[in-house]
Amino acid sequence: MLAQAILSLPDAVVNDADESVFHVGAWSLLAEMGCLRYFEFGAESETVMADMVALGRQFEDGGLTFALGAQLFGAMTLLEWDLQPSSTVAKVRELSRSGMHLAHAISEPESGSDVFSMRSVGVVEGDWIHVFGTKTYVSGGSEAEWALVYVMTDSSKGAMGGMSAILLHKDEWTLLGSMKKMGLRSCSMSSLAFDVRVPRERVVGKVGGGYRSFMKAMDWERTGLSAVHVGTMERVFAKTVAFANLRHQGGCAIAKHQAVAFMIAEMKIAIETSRFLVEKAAATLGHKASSKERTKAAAMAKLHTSEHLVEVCKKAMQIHGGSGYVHGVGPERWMRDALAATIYSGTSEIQRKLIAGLL
Amino acid sequence: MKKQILELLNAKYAEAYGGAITDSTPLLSSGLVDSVAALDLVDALEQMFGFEFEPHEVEEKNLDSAERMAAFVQTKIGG
Repeated sequence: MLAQAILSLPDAVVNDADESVFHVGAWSLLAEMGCLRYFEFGAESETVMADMVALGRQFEDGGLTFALGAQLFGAMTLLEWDLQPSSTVAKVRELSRSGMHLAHAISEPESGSDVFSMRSVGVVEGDWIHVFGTKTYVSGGSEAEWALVYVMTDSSKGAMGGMSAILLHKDEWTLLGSMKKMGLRSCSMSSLAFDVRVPRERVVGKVGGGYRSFMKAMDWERTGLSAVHVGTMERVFAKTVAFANLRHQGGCAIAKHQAVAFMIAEMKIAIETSRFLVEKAAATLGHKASSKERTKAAAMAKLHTSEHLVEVCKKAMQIHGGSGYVHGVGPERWMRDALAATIYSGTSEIQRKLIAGLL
Repeated sequence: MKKQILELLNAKYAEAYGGAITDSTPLLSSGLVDSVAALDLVDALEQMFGFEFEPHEVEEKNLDSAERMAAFVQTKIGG
């Protein structure tokens, strides 16, 4: 739907000058184009994922595309799927469609990948709910106006039936500082603490309804970020092939050397196999497949594309030689950004566990 | 209804359980069905009986055995 428009964006928009700063202009432009309104208009999952590939293809700033994927799929989906939204949920949903930053806060200092062992609590007190706890690794936490925060509202039930998603405003949490990261630097990562009573209408969906929605949101997020990975690999590949054709050693372009040509061939295979898995995962989203098929396809796409993104960037760096190791330029930055991919939205080990459990 | 549910459960889990699953065989609380696989059961029940779980209804209380599933489905579809 927007892929062509994204691929036509000028260099001044897609190539940021400073990777440590959030690219406000590009974010606003993407929001104006409708990149946060897919669910409002009922776009087909395959169309959405084709646009995510285009974003990865175009934007050098991996932090920006990661921030968009995390907000659109990790956080906004729950608001979009709330069939009877309260006035606050409806308001935050519309604001986030327009580009307001909505963070997704689930990880905790003690829980790591075992997200459901969270300690943050929500105590329902009539029309109010008292929420308290600490969340960490919150992407976009520093820019966020609102956050979708998961808490246990009935720990005796565990995540299934005992976990709820609640909207908090930035005035209701304390930002515990922003962490410096290896890559994806334009997207902040923060910890936040909260201890506040908020109206019960802040609950997205119903109290206790967080688990199924979270699992479905993760399927969308993993597929969406996998699509971004495919686009990113395409960009890295195109730039590396251009370099290999331009750079001459021993009387010919290095692309003609078998050692380099083999690496280029392997990069191409990695991209095409990744594209296949993303297309399959995209087709299983929505109501077209069981949750088992959807979760398995998303995990396979996430595992495969993230691991191959790292490999593709590593080969790009090798082909670029010394120039690829220069800080902040091309391969060195691609590599730093890529290494996050096997960790965020569930580590590679979590994806393997999911896949094996669903066979 | 319970018969259909038992057929479904036995088709999916009898082998892993090591015998026939009965009305009261614990599924989630025994670890036979984990929280990810439970969503597969939710899908199957929705498809089989033509209703939708609301997200907060996806909990052990409604899914831990054939009889609990049948009781929950009964509240959703009546009859």
